[in-house]
Amino acid sequence: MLDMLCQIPCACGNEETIKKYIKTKTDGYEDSIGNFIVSKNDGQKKLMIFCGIDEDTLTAMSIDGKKVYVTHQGTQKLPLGSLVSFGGYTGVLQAKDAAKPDKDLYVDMLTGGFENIGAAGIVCAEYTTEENVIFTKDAAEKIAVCAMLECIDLKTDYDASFVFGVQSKNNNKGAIVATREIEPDFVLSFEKTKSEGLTYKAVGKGFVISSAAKEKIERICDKLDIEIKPEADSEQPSCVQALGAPNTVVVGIPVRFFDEIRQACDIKYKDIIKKIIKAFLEEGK
Amino acid sequence: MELLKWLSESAGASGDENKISDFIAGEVTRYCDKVFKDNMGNLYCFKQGTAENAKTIMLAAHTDEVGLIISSVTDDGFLKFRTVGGIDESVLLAKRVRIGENKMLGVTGVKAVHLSTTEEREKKISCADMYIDIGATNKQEALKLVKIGDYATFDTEFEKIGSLLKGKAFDDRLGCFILINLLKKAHKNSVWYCFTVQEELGLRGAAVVSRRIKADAAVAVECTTCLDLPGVDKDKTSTVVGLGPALTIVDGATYTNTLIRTKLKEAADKFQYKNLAAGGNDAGAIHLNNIKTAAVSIPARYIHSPVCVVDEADVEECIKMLDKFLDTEEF
Repeated sequence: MLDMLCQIPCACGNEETIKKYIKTKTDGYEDSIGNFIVSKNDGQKKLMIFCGIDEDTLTAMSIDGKKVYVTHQGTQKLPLGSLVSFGGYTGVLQAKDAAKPDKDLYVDMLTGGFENIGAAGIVCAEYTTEENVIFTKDAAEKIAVCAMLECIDLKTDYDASFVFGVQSKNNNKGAIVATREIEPDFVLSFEKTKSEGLTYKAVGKGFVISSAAKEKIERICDKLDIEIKPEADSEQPSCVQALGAPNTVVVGIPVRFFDEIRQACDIKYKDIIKKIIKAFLEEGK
Repeated sequence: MELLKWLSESAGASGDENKISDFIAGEVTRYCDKVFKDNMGNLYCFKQGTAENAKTIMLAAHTDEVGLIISSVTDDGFLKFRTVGGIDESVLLAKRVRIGENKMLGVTGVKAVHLSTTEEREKKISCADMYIDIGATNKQEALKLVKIGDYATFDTEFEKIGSLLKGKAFDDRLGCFILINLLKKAHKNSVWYCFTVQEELGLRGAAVVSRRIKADAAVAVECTTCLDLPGVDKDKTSTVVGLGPALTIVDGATYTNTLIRTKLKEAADKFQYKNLAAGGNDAGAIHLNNIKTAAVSIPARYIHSPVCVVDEADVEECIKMLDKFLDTEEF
């Protein structure tokens, strides 16, 4: 499953392909923004388990011959000269001024005929595994989504929602919509972190973890003998503010090459994340 | 055009929209099934659809405009002010403004070129260095004419120039004008026509409106940036006057819903796409309340300045597009 997830395209605002795959694994519904939600039970307390499924995207804004001018959703470095696919049409990423590689981007199409303004393009970047490491786009999030899917049938007394969130690269709009609709008492979410070792977001821009959330994640990880430390780096982009529920735990999964288009992540974190999810579900009182 | 002239020339900066929404309510009540205002000043006008399985659509246009607010009065009787909403302060110099309930005329002063140094002329002036002259000779006299906290808006006449329209506050009185025209007619779907407030201060009215109204779809009807001027690259124009209403794909606040955007495109005889992902509008607040949302905008040159220019034909095309869209059966 992890291999498949790492190879399926998932453009921001256009996550249909990966949702189609997720729907082969479980039943659920989509909200208005496109989050795919699997709901379980009608328990008293609501738990939302969340992870973003989209990747950095180049949206076609205007076309001039073979030049497709694009806007970039996301924060990863997109190397000039990369191959960009609009699903059937391919081109090479360029900038009007090569000295400013993140401004005035366009895709120089290999062939003519592309007319689809609004189409979502993604950078073609090979997925590789070596021993226990995967090297792919949004490696940490892929591992978390795989873990969530493998936990979906676990029993719980919570009114639990597994949210496969969209538009995480567009200021976490999916997370905002999901939280407003579901109104969870508790949120458990996953994203990548620069830190070495597993972390949880303690402090961020305009955010401090609640004492209940802090106590819960530390207690659970202590019981499972999982090493986790608080992270107080307010500069990393995070979904923590977007989630905004009363008790929110955002677990950071360590990756290398944090800012690059592909990151390296140890596969061992899949089982660790599964243990944490299972422990949260079992606590549903 | 009399309606549009009134809307354009009337004063209603963010936080001071009551007169505008009261006028609109007066214009539209007889066409609607329900009309009311909330505590913030948002105006809600509902029309039941004629179809058996009518869906509910929200159209949103904001009543507020960018303007100024009087912050203090100098001993010599000059008014100090701050901007309300996003205004490039360089457009404020040497302008006519109307202040307060009594529409007191004032001018934003600037030092005569004969008296300024080269350094002064090259420096960008902020509104902290500016003042409004209302012809008062001292503070007491000034305070008889205006109050601290009074709003000031640009004093611009609405008129035709060539084939285009010129005026102030097209953002978003044009959107209001479009909504008023649409609600005079019945449609298959039920429609909430929402005249929101405080958009220019961060989409505030729309955030409240969209928590209150449950809709199957929403469209923000706006004015947007337009830089189709000599020397500007084609991919940097944002929109072009005369090419029809502009559909937003993505902007600084929203990735518009593909289905709703497609339905708008199918309903249009003429349209364009906004080619820059900058700015934002009420759609940015609405879509976060679980409503499928898109945005359509009239290209307006020199937006957020004392005078903007639009093409009347773009407005007519937008009305036609939305008129058809409101009869869409599949969402």
